Amino acid sequence: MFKITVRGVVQGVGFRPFVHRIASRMGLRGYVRNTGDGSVEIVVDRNPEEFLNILLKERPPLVVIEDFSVAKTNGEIPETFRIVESGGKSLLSLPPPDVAVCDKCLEEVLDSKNRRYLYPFTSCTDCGPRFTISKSLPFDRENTSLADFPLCPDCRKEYGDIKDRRYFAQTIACPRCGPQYRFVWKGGEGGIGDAANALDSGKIIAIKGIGGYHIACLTEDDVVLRLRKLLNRPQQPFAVMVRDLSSAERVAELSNEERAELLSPARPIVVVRKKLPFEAVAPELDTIGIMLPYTPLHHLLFQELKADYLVMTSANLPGEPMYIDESIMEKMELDGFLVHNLEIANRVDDSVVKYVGGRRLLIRRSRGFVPQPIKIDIGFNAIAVGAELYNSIALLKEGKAVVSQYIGNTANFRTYNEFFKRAVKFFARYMNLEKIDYIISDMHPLFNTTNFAEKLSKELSCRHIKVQHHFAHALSVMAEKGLERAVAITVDGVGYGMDGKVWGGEVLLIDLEKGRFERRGRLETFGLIGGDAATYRPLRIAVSLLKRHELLEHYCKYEDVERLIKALPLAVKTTSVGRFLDAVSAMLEVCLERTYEGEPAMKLEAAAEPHEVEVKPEIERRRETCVYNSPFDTEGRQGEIKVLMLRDFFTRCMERYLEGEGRGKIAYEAIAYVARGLGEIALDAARNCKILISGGVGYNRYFLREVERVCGEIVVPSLYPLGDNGISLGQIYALKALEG
Amino acid sequence: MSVIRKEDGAGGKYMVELLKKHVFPKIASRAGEIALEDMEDSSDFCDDFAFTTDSYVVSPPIFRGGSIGSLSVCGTSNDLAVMGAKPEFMSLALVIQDGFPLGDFRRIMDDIRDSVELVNLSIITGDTKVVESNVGIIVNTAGIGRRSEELERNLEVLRELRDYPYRWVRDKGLKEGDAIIVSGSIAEHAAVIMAERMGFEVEFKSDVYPVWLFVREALRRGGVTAMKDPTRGGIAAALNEMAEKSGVGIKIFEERIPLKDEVRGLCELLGLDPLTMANEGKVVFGVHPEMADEVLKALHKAGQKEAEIIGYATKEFAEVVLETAVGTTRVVPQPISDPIPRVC
Ligand SMILES: [Fe+3]
Ligand SMILES: [Mg+2]
Ligand SMILES: [Zn+2]
Ligand SMILES: [Zn+2]
Repeated sequence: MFKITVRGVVQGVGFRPFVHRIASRMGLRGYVRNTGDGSVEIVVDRNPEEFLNILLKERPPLVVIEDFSVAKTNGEIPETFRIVESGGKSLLSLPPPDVAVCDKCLEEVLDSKNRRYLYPFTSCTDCGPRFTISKSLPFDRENTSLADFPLCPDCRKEYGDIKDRRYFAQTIACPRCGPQYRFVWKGGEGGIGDAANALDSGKIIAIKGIGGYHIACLTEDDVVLRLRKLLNRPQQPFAVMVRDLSSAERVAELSNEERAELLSPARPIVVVRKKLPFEAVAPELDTIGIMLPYTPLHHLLFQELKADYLVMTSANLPGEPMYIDESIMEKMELDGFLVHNLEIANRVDDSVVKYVGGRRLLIRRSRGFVPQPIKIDIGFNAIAVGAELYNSIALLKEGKAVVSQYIGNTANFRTYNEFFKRAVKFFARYMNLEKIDYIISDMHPLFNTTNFAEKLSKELSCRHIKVQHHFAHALSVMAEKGLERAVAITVDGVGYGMDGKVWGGEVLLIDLEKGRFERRGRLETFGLIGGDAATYRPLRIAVSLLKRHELLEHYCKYEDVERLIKALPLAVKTTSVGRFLDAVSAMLEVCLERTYEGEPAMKLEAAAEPHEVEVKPEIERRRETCVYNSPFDTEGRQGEIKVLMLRDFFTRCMERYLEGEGRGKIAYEAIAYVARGLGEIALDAARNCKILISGGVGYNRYFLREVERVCGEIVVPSLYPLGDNGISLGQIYALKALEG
Repeated sequence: MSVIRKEDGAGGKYMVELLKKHVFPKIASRAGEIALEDMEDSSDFCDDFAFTTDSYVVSPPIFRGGSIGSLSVCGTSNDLAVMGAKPEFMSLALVIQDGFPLGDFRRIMDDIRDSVELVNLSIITGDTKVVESNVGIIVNTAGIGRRSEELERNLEVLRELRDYPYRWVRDKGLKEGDAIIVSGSIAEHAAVIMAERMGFEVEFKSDVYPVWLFVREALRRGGVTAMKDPTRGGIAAALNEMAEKSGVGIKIFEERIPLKDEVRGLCELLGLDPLTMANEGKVVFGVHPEMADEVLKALHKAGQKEAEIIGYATKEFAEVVLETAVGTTRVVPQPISDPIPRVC
């Protein structure tokens, strides 16, 4: 008699029924069950090698086997092979992420003779909702929102039939017993066909999906402009759902990787190079976010639709969480609502992926990726609360970290109160985090998340650690790649520095073994006139980067330049690359007002014309406090740091622009200047260790290319976001500094 | 931390931490109902008297709308007034830099005289030092206020509506549903000081004013449950302290907060948040919901034409939350010191 223990993604993926099927085929006796520690335990009476071979070879698509062990054992053996009830309360037996509908299920939905014909909640062991309906563990039906829908006799038969492909499928449902869609509008009620008609006639409707509500409409200019007014989003690009891959090829230039990403079970939004203008959908950008249908409903909708493209954007007010229940009907004035009666247990936005220089970057990690854990060899229990914008949280237990879904802008009270706080509570319970050793936050004293961490640590009487923002960025990449030592180019908007100043263009050296945490390079400091106001009106930044204020005469039509110059002494000092690029964007009159996150820099990237440039970054050496004992040290010691000077370069750029030189060339040069400058500093700091990049500016394809021109190939994360959405993982990894 | 930093004295979160760690453990005590560590605007030392002290350092010492002279008399009397005490006596200690212009000194003394007359109190003791260090002029005061009939009347009206176990108007008196009233347009004192330092010409002036002159009218109407004068840290600090001490949350509405356009413009230019900027003649009131309109009317009648109900206390959450003009909401945190950018 042999006991085989298998670890990995083995729950909610049809693993136990699969095991049962093989064992029965081989005529083995024994049982399979989920154990308390997240693994699956299989006991067979004989032939374990052959059994394992088949197991590994034929495993279902969603199963991930991380490792397994075989041991001899004694005890009672059943007469046949059985699936045994889950053993006790599971510790870390997470379900897989939500999965797009599989081909077999889709076939059934479109087959008029099948009993699931046109049924939008068709799913099986290989596909369907998982995390979005999961309320507690293990992932059994009674612990999901589908518990409200008892199985009809037909479904129960499938569930219990070892030969059926829905044997033991927790999400089983059919038109008789499962949830239903209905379309509600002023004129009355109807079905999916009525919703499609409304869309085709230019209406804007809400569609309840698996992780929340979308707002959908045609991509026609007049419809999109109405949507922009409605949502108070004058410029922000909207994602588009396209009918199928061939429609996608019509919209955009696709690489093989992008095609595969669009078709992957996670079905994220992929940001790709536009082929059609889609000017109203993604104004002044050369890219567009597209995705393929991922639920049976989406397919049924396109069946009825004439249009091949639909705007599909999360249904929320700017900064607020996406709607997940019927309260949307009172809060948003839309032309109709396509709703269903399955409760969304966990709000999950669409994930966003972008390929830069052939490498996959995550912009937003949510649906299809959560709650996949990552191995982190740290023996504590901890909760990391992330930064502020693009927030996610992360939890550490048993040497594994789970990063939550995208939570969003926690400066917004509703996002903070109704999403962030609940997510902390939910995950702590979900992962059964009884004893917590550390609560980890950013250093920024005004972030809601920092204050929350402070209060929570007092309540639980555990330690509160504040990790510096850019060190957290770097550590996030190191966690993903399993690095102990690296030089990091961390480039973003703003982060609170060890010295209480605003950082954002840093070269950091991290050596976890030796306990070295050094700021080896930075941008020259410049000023944000009016603090955050400068972020919204980036011309204010340009004022502080200029050596000759008389050049500003040209810009008097946009701002009261004289007043700005007078306000300069009070400007907040920063070293942010993001703000520098914003200033270039404003200076070149590409974008003078920011209406969404990253707008000036994204439009600058779109306007830039890549070409061979000769820039010689001006770098100075300084002595200042830059050597720290840990990523949460605020005292530090003196050391040498290299400073990339900006003012001469910026002033020359402005002179050339005002003399009539094209903005595209200058835009590219400016990106190349900071990229190469920081690249040179990093190369110099990296004696036999890897160079990595983190922070939102890393999404800029030209920035990455120019850094690599100097440094050679550098480390780029592919599983966790470069931007603040990935900070929480770095905060967890910072605990390594305590172990050494 | 091995030295005292500027932000440790800024009246915000860090100062509270400093006091809790290094001051209260050594000298915490009380004479009447209010203890030192309650951190109220004043304390009582017997049934009938409230007592307060304050130091004034401001650069420039003379500014549009007043000077360190009017500031010290109004400020001290205001700390008494917001307990419900009528300001009666003050001490005045001057620390003056060697070489301070006599003309400025006379102007400051004129302001002191005028303010004393306006409030109708007496300065009955004092002290003067001239020093060589670079201080300009520093004024230190103590003030004594007497339990007033207006306070008695307020408590009487209030206690008919609900329990109010305190003898003075306390910071911790807020209850769910109480209206939050601001007596007038905010941020003007700090904005004037900033404008003068940076060399901006402005039309508005400091709001320095003795609030007892309208607080007594509000109390006479009755139903006031909490009061603070929002000086350092502005109404953000005042509201956070009230909320925390009372164990409630506060919701306020941006559109209803009185704020002059010119002040708003200057704040926006300099990156300052009007909610966190000092006022020297304003009061934040908590008022029983049934008396809110009455108290508001009394304030209007007493000359505070811009007084406004800006929000309410709630049990739904524990934070101070601002709803913006476009309908989104954000937390108004306890201010720390200088503003720090946070937009990524
Ligand atoms: Fe960041
Ligand atoms: Mg008070
Ligand atoms: Zn399926
Ligand atoms: Zn059924």
